[in-house]
Amino acid sequence: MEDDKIVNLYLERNENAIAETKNKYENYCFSISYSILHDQQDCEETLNDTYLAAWNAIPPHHPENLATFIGKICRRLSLNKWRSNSALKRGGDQVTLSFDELEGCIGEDRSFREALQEKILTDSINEFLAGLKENERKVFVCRYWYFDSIEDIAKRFSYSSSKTKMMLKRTRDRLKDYLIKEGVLQ
Amino acid sequence: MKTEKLINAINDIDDRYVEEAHSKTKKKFDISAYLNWNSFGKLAAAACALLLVINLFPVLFHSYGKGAAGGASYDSSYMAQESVAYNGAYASEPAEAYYVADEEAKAEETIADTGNARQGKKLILTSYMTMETQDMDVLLEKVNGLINKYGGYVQRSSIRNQNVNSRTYDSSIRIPADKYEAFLSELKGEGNALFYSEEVKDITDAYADIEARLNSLRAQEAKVLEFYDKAEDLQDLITVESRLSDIRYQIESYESQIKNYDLLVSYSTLNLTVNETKVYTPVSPTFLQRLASSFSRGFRNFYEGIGDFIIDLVYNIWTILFLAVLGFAGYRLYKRFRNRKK
Repeated sequence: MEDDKIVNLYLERNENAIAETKNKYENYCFSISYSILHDQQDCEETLNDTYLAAWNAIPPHHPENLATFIGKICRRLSLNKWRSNSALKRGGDQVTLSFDELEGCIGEDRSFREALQEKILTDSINEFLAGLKENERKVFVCRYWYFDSIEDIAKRFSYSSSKTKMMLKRTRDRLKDYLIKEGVLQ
Repeated sequence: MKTEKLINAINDIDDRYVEEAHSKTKKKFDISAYLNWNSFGKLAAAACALLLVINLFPVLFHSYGKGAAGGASYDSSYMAQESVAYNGAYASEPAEAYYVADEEAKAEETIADTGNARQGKKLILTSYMTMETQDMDVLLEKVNGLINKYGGYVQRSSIRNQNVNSRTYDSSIRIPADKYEAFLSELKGEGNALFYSEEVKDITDAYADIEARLNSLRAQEAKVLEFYDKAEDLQDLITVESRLSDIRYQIESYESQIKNYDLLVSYSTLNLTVNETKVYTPVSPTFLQRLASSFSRGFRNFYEGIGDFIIDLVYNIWTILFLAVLGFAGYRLYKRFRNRKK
């Protein structure tokens, strides 16, 4: 079924909307969730929460792109799940590694908490991403949005692992410089 | 945790970036996956391009001079320069230069005039001729046959092999002056004559002057011989013999000059250049002929240029490889230095 029709089902409060969403985006959402949680049971729980969250969000939201809308919900819920799990144990999974890598962008500046508003930060990141080359942007998003492993990204883009790592490092450095330049970071 | 906020902020990035990253990457043939194209490949390509330019430059230059403007115009301008140069060099009779194919009738008339002028005069004729032939060996055989037929000889000759079917024959031919015109008219029929120029040096005055001096010296010699017979003492004998020796030395010198002049006058010199070619340059060419000639000559130059380029490439392969390795090492060092700097 087309996205518009699925969204209309949500707007009409038709419960078939969840079934159609599951039918169409289950694999997509599962891949996002599994990249973060690495646990099938946790992923299935998160996916059910995702469909419920989508049911509650539409309306009032009327997403133009249902795939990314669902994906974002799934990612956020997966991260929440991961946080609650990592309170018990903290392992060397992709999310931890991605967090560690991105930590360099933020630095230890205390004024960050005051200066940074999440919306401003998102807008700045969007502007930054717009200025990147297509492949650099794709690699960045694959790594920090989808939490793909370096090896998977390298394989997908026909790069070597070292080149992928170097590309990500350069992009992070540029992001840090960009955020400082834009005044998001002091 | 600060990084978590950043992760959360990234969560809300524009949908199109999320979708773009999720969309299938177009599988393109990426040579850089197999070669380190950014460094070695680019360097090798630059080296090849440089070599190509170096090789094609003389080819293009060659074709510009040889083909593009058309054979006729090239030879015509060359002829004009030759004529001016010879007029300046010899203050004798004006050099007769003409373009064989264009002005055949005029040429015959000029030769006839020159022939009349020669009667009673001491004239040295030197001419220059450029011909084309499709078979050098056959033409040279015919030229040698003509030389033997008219009692001439080859003073100097050389043949240069530039390429297959692209030899150049250069010679200086001496032909008895009275048979020169007949020899020339026969020679012109044997190949494609592109250029002819003729210069005539009038030595009548100089020859007459030497003859007068010679007669005077011979008269002096006769008188000194009379004194020699009448000499009574040894001192007179020595003085007369010394004078006689001087006179005879001068006589021999002038006689040698006279002989040399006689030889130059009696034998005309033709400096002949024959170029071997696959396609004759059209004489009095039309626009279409010039176009066709330019096209075929241009293609031939291009074809030969490509061949030369490949040969040069193989010849320089070790230099190219050495430069490529050097460049590659330099590039890696530069990258390492740049990364450390960052």
